[in-house]
Amino acid sequence: MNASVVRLAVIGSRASWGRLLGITAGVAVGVTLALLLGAAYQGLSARDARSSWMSASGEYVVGGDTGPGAVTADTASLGNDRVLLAPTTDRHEGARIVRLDVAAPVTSNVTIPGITDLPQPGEYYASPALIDRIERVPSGELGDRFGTLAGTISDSALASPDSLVAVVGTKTSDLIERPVTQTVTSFTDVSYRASTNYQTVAIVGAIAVLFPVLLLVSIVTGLGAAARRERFATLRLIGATPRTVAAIAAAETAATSLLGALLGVLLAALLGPVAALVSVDDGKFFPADLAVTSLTAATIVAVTVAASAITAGWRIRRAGIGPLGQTKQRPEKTPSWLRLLPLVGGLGILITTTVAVLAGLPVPRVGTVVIIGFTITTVGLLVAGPYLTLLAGRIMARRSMSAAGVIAGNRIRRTPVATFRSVSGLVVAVFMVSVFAGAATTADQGVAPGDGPGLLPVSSLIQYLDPMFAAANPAPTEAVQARLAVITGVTGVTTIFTMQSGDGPDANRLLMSADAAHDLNLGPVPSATVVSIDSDALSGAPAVFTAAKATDVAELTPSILLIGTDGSTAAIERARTALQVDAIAGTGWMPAGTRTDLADDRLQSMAASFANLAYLGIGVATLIAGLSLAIATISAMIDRRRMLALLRLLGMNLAGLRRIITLEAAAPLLSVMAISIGLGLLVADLILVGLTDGGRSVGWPDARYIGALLASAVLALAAVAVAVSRLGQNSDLAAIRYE
Amino acid sequence: MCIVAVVDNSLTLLGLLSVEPSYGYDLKHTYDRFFGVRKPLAFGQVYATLARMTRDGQILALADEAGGGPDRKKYEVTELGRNRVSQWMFTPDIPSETLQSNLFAKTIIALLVNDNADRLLDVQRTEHLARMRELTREKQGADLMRVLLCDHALFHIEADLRWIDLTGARLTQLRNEIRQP
Amino acid sequence: MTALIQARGLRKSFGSTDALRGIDLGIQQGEVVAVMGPSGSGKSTLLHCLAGVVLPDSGTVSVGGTVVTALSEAHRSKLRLTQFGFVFQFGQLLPDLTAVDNITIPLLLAGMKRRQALTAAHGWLDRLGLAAAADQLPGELSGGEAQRVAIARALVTRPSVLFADEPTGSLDSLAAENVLVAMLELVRGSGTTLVMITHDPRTAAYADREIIVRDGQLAATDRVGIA
Repeated sequence: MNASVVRLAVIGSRASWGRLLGITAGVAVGVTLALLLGAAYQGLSARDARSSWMSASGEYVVGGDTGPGAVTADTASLGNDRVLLAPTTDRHEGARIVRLDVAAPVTSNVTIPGITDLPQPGEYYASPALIDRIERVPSGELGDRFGTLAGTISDSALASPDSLVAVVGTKTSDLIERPVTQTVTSFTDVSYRASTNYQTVAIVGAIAVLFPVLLLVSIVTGLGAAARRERFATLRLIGATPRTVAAIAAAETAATSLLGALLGVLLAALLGPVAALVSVDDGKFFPADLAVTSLTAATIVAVTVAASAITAGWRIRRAGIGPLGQTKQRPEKTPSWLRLLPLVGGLGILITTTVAVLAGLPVPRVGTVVIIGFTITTVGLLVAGPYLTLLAGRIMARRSMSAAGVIAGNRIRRTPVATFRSVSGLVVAVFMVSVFAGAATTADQGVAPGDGPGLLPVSSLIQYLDPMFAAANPAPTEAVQARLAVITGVTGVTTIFTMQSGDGPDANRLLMSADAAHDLNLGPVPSATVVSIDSDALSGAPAVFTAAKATDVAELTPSILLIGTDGSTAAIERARTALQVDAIAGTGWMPAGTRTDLADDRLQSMAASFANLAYLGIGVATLIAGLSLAIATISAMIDRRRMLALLRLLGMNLAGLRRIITLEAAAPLLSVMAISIGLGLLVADLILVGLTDGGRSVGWPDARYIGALLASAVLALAAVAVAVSRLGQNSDLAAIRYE
Repeated sequence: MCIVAVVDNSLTLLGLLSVEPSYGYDLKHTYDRFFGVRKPLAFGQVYATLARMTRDGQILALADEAGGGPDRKKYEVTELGRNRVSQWMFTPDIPSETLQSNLFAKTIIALLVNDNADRLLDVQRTEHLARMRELTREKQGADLMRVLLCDHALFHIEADLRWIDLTGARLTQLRNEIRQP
Repeated sequence: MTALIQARGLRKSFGSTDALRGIDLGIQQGEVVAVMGPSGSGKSTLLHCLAGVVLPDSGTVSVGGTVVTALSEAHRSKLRLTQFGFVFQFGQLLPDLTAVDNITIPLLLAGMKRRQALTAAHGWLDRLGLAAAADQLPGELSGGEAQRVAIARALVTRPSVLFADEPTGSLDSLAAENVLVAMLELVRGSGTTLVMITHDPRTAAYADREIIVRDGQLAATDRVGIA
C-alpha cells in the first residue's frame, strides 16, 4: 500500500487530527497512571523491606533466671552477640514514634541498620523527621525523653521520610526490669510483613485505577470512528484488502499509542516526586521509591503499543468494512440475562466465604478467595451493566411520556452495550468508592473519642504502671503525684488501684479512694472510703462509681496513674515526657497515652491506613471516568449529527436535544449506580467479615463517602454538560442534506 | 431528418433576417448552416417566402446595389416583422412528439438575435408541465388502460422536458458556438 | 386573496456563493407547488428560507401573517412544530424508533399524552396501509414504506404547510407514484399547502403549478401569485 494513500487515509482531515491527538493524550494518561501505580506497589514493598529491622524480636527476658546464658543486670552477661531490645510506641502530638531501647556492651558485634554504632546509655539515634520535631518543640515536651543525640538514622533504614524512629541506649539493669524486653541477636534477617492485606489493597487499587484507564483508551480510539470507517471504505473501494485496512488501522494506532506511551513515561517521571507526597500507611514516599525503572517503562510501553494495535486491527476487521462502507448501522446483539451470571457468581463466592468463616469452617487462603470473589464481582458488574441498561432503556422507552424520553429510551434499548460503555468507568468508580468507604467505616468507629458528662476527659493521660514493679510500697506513687503536680498544665494526678488476685466484687474493677473519685468530677460518688468503676471508663464508657468491698487502698496494688491536664498539647507532652524522664518507678516501661492515643492503637486497620491511597486512586479513577463519559458523549453526538439536526427540524428545541443526550447518559448511570452502591457496601462487609473472621462489620459511611458520590455525580453532570454545550455546532440544520 | 421538415421556414427566415439585413443568397446559406444540414433549402422557396413576407410588410427590400435579380436585393426586417418573430419565439408549442425541431429553431434564433433563450425554454417547460398536469389529473380514478395510455404520453413529454432542461443547461456553450462564423 | 406564504426580496449567500438573489413569491392556502430547477440553483435554500430553517441575509418571509424571518430560533422551532411538516429524500426516520414511535415524536413534542399519540399514529399508519409495519424499525422497512411513515410523521400534527425535498427521489417509478398519490390525497383532503422540491417532471405534474429556480432567481414565467 502506497505510503501517501495511508497518509491520506489516516490523517485525511482536521477531525482525524483531533482523533489522533485524543488517542495520544488518553494513552499518555493511562501509561502515566499505570507506571505510578506499579511504582507505588514496588515502593510499598521496598519500604517494608527497609523498615523490617524494627520488627526484630527474640526471647523474652525472664527475671531472676540464673541458668547458663541468663541475662543479668551486668551488661557483660549479654556477650558480644546479643543485645537487649525493648520496643515501645511513644507519641507526640498524636504522631506515633517507634522507640527502641537497646542495651549492649560497647564491644557488641550486633549492628542496627541505618546507624554506625549501637547507642550507649544516655545516647540515642533518631530519624531526620524526629530530629526536626525534637528541635521544633521545647526539650521538656519531647527531647528530654531520649537523652543525647548521637547520630541520625539513615534513610536506607526508614520506611518514609516521615518515619519517627528513635534507637535509645539504655542500661541493661533498667531493661531487664521491663516486661517487653527481648534478647535479639540480629536486626538484618528479619522477615517483614508481606501481608495478604497489602496485596489485596494493591490489587483492588490496580483494578480501580487501571480499569477506567483502559476504558478511556478504548473510548478515545473510538473517537470519530464513523468518519474513519468511511475513509477506510474508500480505500476498500480502490482495492485495499480487509487485511490491508486492518493493518493500516493497527499501524495508525500503534504509532499514536507509542507516542502516547512515551509521553506517559515522561509524565510519570515528572509526576513521581509529586506522587511521593501522598501519605500512605507510614507516611510519604521517598521520591526514589516511586522512580520508574527503565525495564518497567519499556515493558509497559511495549505492552500498551502491542495491545492497542492488535485491538485496533481486530476491531476494524470485525467491523467488516466493505467497499461500499457500512450502509446500515450494525444492530447490536441484545444482551441476555446470562450476563448477570458472573456478578451472581462473584457475590456467591464472597457470601459463601463469609458464611463459612462465620460458621467457623476452615477456609484455606481466605485473602486469595476474597480477592478472586471481589475481582469477579467487579468484572461481573461490568458484564451485567449492558443487560441492566437494556432493562432501564426498555422501561424508559415504554413508560416515558416525553419525546426526549422516548428517543433516549429507544436509543439505549437498541445500543445498550455502547451506552453502558460510556458510563461504565463511573459505575466502577462508584462501586470502588462504596467498597472502600464501607471498609473504612470500621476504622472510623470511635476513632475520635469525645468528651462528655461522666466521661474521662480526652486530655487525661493514662499511665499504666509496670506490673513487675513491687507492689508492696505505694510510697513512690505519692512522691510521683507530688512531682507531677508541679508541672505546668497538669491539673491533678489520681492513682488507680486493682486487686492483684482473688475474687469478689472488686476483681477486674478499677479502685480508688473516694476523695480521688470526687476530684475526678465524673459523677456522683457513693459514701465509702474506697469506690470502684468499670475498666471501660478508660476507653470512653461513662464512669459509674459504686462502693467497693475494699476499705483501704493501701491493701491494693497501684496500677494506673491518671494525669489530668488543662488540655493543651504542650501540657500533655510535658507530662508524658516527665513520666519517662524522671524514671519514676513503674512508669518508664511504657509511654503514657490519652484515650485518643489508645483508641488509635486499637483501631489501626488496613482500610484506615490505606484510606488516603484509596481515595486518591478513586479520585483519579473518577476523574478519568468523567473524562471518558464526556468524550464518549461528544463522540456519539458527532456520529449522530444528522439525527440531531433532524430533530431540530421537527421543531425540537436545543433544550430538548440536551435532555435526550443527558437522559442517554443519566439513565444507565442511575440504574446501575444504585446497584453498584448497594453492592459496594455489601462487598465491603463481606470482605471485612471474611478477612477479620467476623471481627468487624461495616458501619455507616462517613462524609467523605457522600462527598465522593456527590463529586462523581457532579463530574458526570459536568461531562455531559461539556458535551452538550457543543450541541449548537452539531445540530446545524444544514447537516440534514449535506451528510 | 425530421427537423427540417417541420421547421416553420418563413418564421425562421424572418428570425434570421432580424439578426442583420441580408441578401437572399446569404440568407439561404445561413439557414442551411443551422437548420439544413441534411436537406438544404431550395433557392426558389427562399425567394417565394421573401416575396410573401415583403407583401405582408414584415420585411422590405433595400435599394438595389447592382441592379436586377432577386439575389441582388438586400432585405431588412420591419418593426412588424420583429414583433412577429418575438411573438413566435415566446409562444409555446403544443407538446407533441415532433415538437423539438421548431423549438430548436426558436432557440437558435433567440440566441442569434440575442434575445432571452432561457425564457423561451421556460415558457415551453411551463406548457409541457401544464400538459403533464392535465394527463396526471386524467389518471386519477381512471381505469388501468387509460392510466397506461396517459403514462405513455407523460413519458414522451418528459423526454422533451429533459431535452429542454439539458439545452437550458448548455445555452452558454451553444451561444458561443453559433456566434462563430 | 392574500397568499399563505409570502416571500419578498429573499437573498442568501454562503461565503462567496449567492444561493438566492432576490426572490419574490406567493403561495396560496391549499396550493400544491413544485419547485424545480437545476442542481445548485438554490431550490433547497429557498425551501429552507420559507420554512424558517435558514434565515435569509435580506428579505422577508411570512406565513399566515406571521413574519417568520423576524422570529427567534425558539419561536421558529415552535412554528416548525405546529405549522410545518417536512419530508426528505431518505434517512429521516430515527433509526432506533419503531415506525409508530417515529410518528408520535412530533405529537409528544407538542405536549400530547403518549397514549393518545400512539393511537393517533396507529390511525395514520392504517390510513397509509402500513398497519403491519407499526412495530418495525426503519431499517426493516422498504424505501416506499419508510417514505410513507415519514409522510405520516410530517402530517400527524396537521400542519398548514408540508415541505418536501425530493420526497420520491430514492424510489423506483411505481413506488414513487404510490407514495406521491398517497401524499397528495392526504394533502388535498386536508387542504394542506404543499411545497415540494423535485427535479422529476412527472412528480411536478402532481402539483398545481411549478416554480422554476435558476441561479438563485425565479424563472421569468413564474411571476404570478404575488398579491
